[in-house]
Amino acid sequence: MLILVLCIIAAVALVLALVAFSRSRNTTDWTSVSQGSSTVRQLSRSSFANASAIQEAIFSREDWEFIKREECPALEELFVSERKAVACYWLTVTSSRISAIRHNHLQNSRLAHNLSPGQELRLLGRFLYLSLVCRVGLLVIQLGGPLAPANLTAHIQRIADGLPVARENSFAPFREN
Amino acid sequence: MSSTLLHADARKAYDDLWQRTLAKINGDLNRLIYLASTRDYNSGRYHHAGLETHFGAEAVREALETAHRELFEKLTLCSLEELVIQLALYVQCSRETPEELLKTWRTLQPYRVAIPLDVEPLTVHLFLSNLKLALEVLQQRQSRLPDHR
Repeated sequence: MLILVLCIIAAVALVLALVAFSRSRNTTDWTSVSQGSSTVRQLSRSSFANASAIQEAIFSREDWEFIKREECPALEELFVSERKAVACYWLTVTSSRISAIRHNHLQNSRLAHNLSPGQELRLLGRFLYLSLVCRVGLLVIQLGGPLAPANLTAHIQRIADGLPVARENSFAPFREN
Repeated sequence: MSSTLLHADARKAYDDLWQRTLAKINGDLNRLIYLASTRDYNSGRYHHAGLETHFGAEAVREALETAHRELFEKLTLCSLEELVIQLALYVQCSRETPEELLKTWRTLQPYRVAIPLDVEPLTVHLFLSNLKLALEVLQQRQSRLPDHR
């Protein structure tokens, strides 16, 4: 029991630290990788336009308030279980996307001749940070329910929205070789 | 409602579809089910004989597919309360009794055929989950009615 309590306290502390850390970071830093590149492409964002809306719908407090107004415990239970499943799926999809982008980046890096170790280390830090945030998000959802990590998931979504552009931009200097 | 149609004929077919058909259907869920019914179960291709005589099969296919996807996304992203309203409207417009329709929808899940092709699995997951919740809300309300007992 004591171990469980300690684990929960550690998880909460980790989440708070991550949220505090994330607020001090500018998510658009992803594009800084491409600075100085002449081949920066403006990608269509249409396919990602709804991503934030989906994230908001999954973690909607308005829906929870609506269910509570129905005054039916069985409905509340079903809502929590359904949203938990969708929220976990969302985090798994986001995490897979991050892994795929990282994999692509590593493959492209092998062909590059002008790699900057500092830049690569920063990128590696970002990938690890995102993967960790997704795992913490899953833990928070499992422990606290689907509405618990609202700020954290909004943060993940903001970064995830920037990933495709970052991916393209980060490859741009390598294509020129 | 905005459209992302690329071809002029498809845009005209889309506008005509909304003005002559979809605008006369009550509620977005009813419209979604109607649009899904214009799609062939086996090939997945959309057909609308009336529109095809004016705009051509390819333009009509694009128009129907776009309208279907847009309505699906709208219903997926709307609040649960709004989805319950849309579902209640659908029940009201159907010829079946609410009890019978709710029972069929909860067990057979025929609404799965209303999912467009090529939508992200996450969107599908959210839509199905929300519809399941909306059905339970209506079922609960139904069971609380005095004449239900």
